[in-house]
Amino acid sequence: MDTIGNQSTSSMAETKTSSPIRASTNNNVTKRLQTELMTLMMSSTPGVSAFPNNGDLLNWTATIVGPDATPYEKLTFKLSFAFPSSYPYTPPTVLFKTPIFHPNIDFSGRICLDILKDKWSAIYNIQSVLLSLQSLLGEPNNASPLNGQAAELWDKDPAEYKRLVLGRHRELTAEELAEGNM
Amino acid sequence: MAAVRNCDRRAFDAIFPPTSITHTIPTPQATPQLGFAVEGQSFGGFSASSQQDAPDSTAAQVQVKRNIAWSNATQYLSLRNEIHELVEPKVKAPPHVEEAFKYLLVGEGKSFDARDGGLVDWYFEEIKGSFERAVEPLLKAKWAKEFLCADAYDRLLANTRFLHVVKQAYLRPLHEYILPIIQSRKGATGSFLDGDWSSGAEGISSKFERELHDLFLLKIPNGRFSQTLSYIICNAAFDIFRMAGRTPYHGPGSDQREVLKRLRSLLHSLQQVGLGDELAQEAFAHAMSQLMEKFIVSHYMEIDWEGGCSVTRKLREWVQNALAPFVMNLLELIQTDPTTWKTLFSSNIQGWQRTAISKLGMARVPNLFDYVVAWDDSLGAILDIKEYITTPAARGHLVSSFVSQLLRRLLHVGSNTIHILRMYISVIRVFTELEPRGVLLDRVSRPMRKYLKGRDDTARIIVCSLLAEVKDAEGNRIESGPDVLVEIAAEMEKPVLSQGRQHWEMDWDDMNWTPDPVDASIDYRKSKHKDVIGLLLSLYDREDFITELKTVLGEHLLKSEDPDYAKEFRLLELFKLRLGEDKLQACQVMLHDVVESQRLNDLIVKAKAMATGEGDLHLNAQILSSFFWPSLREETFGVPKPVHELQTTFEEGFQATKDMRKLRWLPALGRVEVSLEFEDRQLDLECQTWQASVIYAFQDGKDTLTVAQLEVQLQMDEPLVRNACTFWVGKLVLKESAPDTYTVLETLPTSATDANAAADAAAAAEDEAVVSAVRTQEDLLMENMNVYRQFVLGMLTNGGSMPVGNMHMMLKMAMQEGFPFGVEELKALLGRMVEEGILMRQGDVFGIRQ
Repeated sequence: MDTIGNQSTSSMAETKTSSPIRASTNNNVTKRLQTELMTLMMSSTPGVSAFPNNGDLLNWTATIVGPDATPYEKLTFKLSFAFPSSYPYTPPTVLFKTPIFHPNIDFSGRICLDILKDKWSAIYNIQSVLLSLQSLLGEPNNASPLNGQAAELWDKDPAEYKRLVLGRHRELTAEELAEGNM
Repeated sequence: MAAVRNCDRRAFDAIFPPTSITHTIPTPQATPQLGFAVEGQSFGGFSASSQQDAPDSTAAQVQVKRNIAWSNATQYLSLRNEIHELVEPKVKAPPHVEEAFKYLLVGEGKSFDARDGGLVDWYFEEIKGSFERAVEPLLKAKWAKEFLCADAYDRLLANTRFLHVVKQAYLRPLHEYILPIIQSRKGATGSFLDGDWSSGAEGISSKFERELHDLFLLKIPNGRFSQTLSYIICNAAFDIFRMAGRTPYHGPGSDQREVLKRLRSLLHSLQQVGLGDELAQEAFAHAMSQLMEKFIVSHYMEIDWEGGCSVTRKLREWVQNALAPFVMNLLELIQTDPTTWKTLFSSNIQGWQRTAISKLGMARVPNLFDYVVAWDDSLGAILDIKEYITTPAARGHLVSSFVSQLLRRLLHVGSNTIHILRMYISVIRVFTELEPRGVLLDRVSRPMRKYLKGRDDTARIIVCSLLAEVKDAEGNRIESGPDVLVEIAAEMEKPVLSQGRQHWEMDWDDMNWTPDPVDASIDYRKSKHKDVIGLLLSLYDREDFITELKTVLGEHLLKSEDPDYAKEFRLLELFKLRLGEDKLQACQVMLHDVVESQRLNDLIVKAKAMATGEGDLHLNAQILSSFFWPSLREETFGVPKPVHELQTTFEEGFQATKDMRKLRWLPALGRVEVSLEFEDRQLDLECQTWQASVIYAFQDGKDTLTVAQLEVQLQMDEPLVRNACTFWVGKLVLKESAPDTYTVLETLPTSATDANAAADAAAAAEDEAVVSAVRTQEDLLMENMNVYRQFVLGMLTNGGSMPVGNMHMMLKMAMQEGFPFGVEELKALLGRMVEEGILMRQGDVFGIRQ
């Protein structure tokens, strides 16, 4: 009895299933995210990039390359973005997937950044968030640290800081990547 | 016991021709058999009442007497080996022979029968021997030779007559002597009868006849006989029913009556010599089957192309009123027991009609493809087939036969999409007529739909046809473009059936509900309202169709000259009914745009005209909501200054009314009416904007310009410049004075050759200069190549390596306008990126090269 309610969309068997997103979520979020993706793709900002996960437009994976002349130089970091259905009126949930040693990021990847919390506004978008995060790597806010050791070492001992950054950093395995893709 | 053994032997002999081991030849030629008496037992071991008192001492005497009688009788009865002697009547039996007959048949001699089977049995053995010796070789010789078809009747008749004569010869002694004796005796003593011929004279006679017939039947080459007979009956039947085609029977008397008479006499004589019954009936049945087939393909059963009526009624009537009496007439001749058979027969006429109908169907189905092509003149044939497909087997046959016809004749690269679509429409109509439930349609259209889906121009043709104008205001047909299928357009004119009860399967009150037919495929869905358009639209995803519809509608709207867009509105409403209102929002906006533009134009231009007075330039702007329209030509170039001024004023006016909304001009869209004045002529025509701009560049005394100059001056892309120049060459306005250099043709060439050359160039150029307002898919792919590359890079950077199928799905999902290409195109793009060293590939999985 799979015909019930299906009649209006298609009456022949060979119809391909249209993407599930369109049916299940708010059309506006989808549209907005598509637009953002398009701008992001077209602007091709060096060092940041993001893309929806497999078959899910509300969860993205982003990649940030550590800015030059910082301890994070040439390191790549993966992040996950989860967009609420009220996006862009509420901020996305952003987490660092790659382990990182940074004053404003804790060991489970949570980020302390005002624009992702109370300073969020609908005019921000993925690109601006990514760029903010990229600059956060080079200019941490040591006044309100999540990682006290990092905040302390940032000014005191750059060499030790760099060693810890490199010690903590590792590339994600394919499985871990795929986990994010689920 | 002996009698039983005797019986066994004879049965055995009937199957394996006897070699006469048991058969005695008449005694005078052999030693008289004296016989032996077993101790304590009388001869024969058979105690007839008449012999009760016979003393044992006389046994030997009786034996001798019987032997003499036996000798006399058998000598008289023995048959000649030469056929002519055989058939000649014998001389009358002398008295002592008659005595012997009497003695042996009804007298004392009968008591010995148990031992050697008696005289009657002996005579039958004699007949068998004689038949083997004298008749069989002759019969063999007669059948061994090939003979002409035309002679078949005479041959068979002669053969039958010959057998008849032989039969008469064999039976004569039986009828003349033996039977009367038995008869008389029977009349005298009713209680006498026993033994295996106990039923008396009739019994013996019929038994004899039967055995003789069996003998004939055994000795005649059955295969050839029935073939010949069937041929004869067939031919005669063709003559009688006046069937053209096969060589008619040209023997004496081709008249129907005469033919029938001859056939009857043949069958009659066949029955007389025992060749009727099963063998002949079989041949007869075969002939009738052929007759039926012949009749069905004859002109009597031709498809009713004009009236569109089924011929099955005619066929039924023919079976009932012509064939059945004919069969009755003949079949009773070769029937031993006509009474039981007749009742059986009359109940069978309906069965025959069914056979005839299914034969008709079988004859029609192989041509179904042609009927579909010829629809709806072929209605008659389709109705014939409709009567045929009443059984699952017939339906299966129909489907498999038609699908193979389709594959062979239609679904290959040789036929163009329009043709296939036209066929598909015909198939829909034909099968709807054949079977309104649509199970057959569902099954035969699967390969067609699959094939149509694979063709990349299918969607475009369907949508173009849907939008096409097939009739002008007066209802006359107008010529349509190459991509238009008139049938679809005509179908679109029809009113849409109400889609009222969509979930009718859930309608518990439907008293006409029936289960799905048994041959329906698993995913067969019932839908009561399936018309041509509905089926065509369901070929693809709705989204795919709407994308295509937007493209075609966009072009259509930009071209349309009807100020009210009445047709477009009507079509859009129709599409809404078909595809659902929510999906067609973009189209709705597009239509709204053009109407709104009209209003704004009037408003702004009129206001402007009031302010400045009429100019000789008119600007008619279309305001399109870029978000909803398909991607349009966006090439920009410098428009002529007066036009630009008009644009600026319009822009001001627009911003005034529309509250500062931005207006972006798309100069490449639109049309211009230009009038050109030359020294010797004036030219008024309509052209594309860039063409007008190019020709405007020649305005101020610059008679000769190169392509490069034009590019710089107009800031126009080279392809557009060239296109414009070719266009104007085609219109005999410019000429290419040197490569890439064009000069205005102020005066037309006067000499004939020049004129011809110019005309040729013009014709060639005109073909090239046709450009579509909306970009084609290939244009789009090239245009958007960079976007796609970025998407692919973004996807692989963040998501890691993934197979091409996933990527395709992601692109379709993630891209705003959708990804209108298939996996193959994406693969090509990825392949290029691999070559450039950006990506790496492992089988179907692609990833970023580190």
